[in-house]
Amino acid sequence: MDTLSTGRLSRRAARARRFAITLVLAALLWWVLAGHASLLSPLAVLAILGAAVSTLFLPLGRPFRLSLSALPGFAAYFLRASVAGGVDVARRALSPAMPLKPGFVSYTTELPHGAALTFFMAIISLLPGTLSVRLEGRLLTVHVLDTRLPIETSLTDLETHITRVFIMAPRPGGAA
Amino acid sequence: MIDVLSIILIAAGLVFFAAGTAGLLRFPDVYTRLHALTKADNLGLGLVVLGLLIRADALAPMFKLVLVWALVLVAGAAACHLVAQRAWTRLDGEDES
Repeated sequence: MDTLSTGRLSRRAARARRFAITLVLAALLWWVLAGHASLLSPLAVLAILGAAVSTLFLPLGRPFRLSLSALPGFAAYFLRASVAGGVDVARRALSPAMPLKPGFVSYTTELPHGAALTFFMAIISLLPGTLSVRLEGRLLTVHVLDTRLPIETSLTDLETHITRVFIMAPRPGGAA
Repeated sequence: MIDVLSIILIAAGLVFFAAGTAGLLRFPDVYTRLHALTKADNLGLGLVVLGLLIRADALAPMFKLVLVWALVLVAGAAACHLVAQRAWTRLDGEDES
C-alpha cells in the first residue's frame, strides 16, 4: 500500500512539473512567434493554458531528468558530429569516384526504452555515415555509408554522451 | 564585417544543400539517399541559420531562427527513420516470402 501511494504521489508531482514546463515553453513559443505585445491577448492566454492543461490528460512517459551540467558538453559534441556528418556525406556525394561501401550493422543498446532511446535513434541519423533503420527490443539496425568507418566506437560514444544527459528514473511503481 | 561573414556562412550552407541534392540524385539506393538528405541539409540549414543569426537585431527573431532549425532537425530525423523503416520492412518481406 505504501509503495502504491508514493507512486501515485510521484506521478502527481510529475504531472505538475510537466504542466509548469509546458506552460513556460508555450508562452516562450508564443513570444518568439508573435512578439511580447500579443502575449496577453485572450487568444494567446487561451492557447497557452490549453497546451498546459492538455498535458494533464496525456499519459505520462517514463520519467527522466536532464542533467544541465552535461548539456553544454553534449551540445558541443552534437555540433561537432553534425559538421563531420555533413562534410563527410557532401564529400562522398560530390567526389567523382563516389566512395561508398554501404551495409547494415547491428548494435545492442543499453539504454532503457523511453525518451533517451528515442533521442539516441534520432541523433544516430545525424552522425557521420550512420542512419537508424529499425529497433527490435534493444537490437538496433543501423545503415552505414561506409562499413570501413569505426561504427561501433562512435555509437558507444554517443550512448555514453546520452546517458550523461538523460538521467532516467526507474519506472514509477518499481518494475523496470 | 558582419555582412561578409554572414554571406560566407550562407554561401557555405548553400554548398551543402547542393551537395545533399547531388547525393540524392547520384547515390544508388533509398538508404544512402537518406544519408545525403538528412546530414547535408542539417548542416546546410544550420549554416544558413547561423549566417542570419549574426544579422538579427533582437532576441525574438534569433529564437525564431533557432526554432526553425530545431524543428527541421526533429522532422528530418523522424521522417528519415520512418522512410528507412518502411523500406526495410518492405524489402525484407519481399526477400523472405
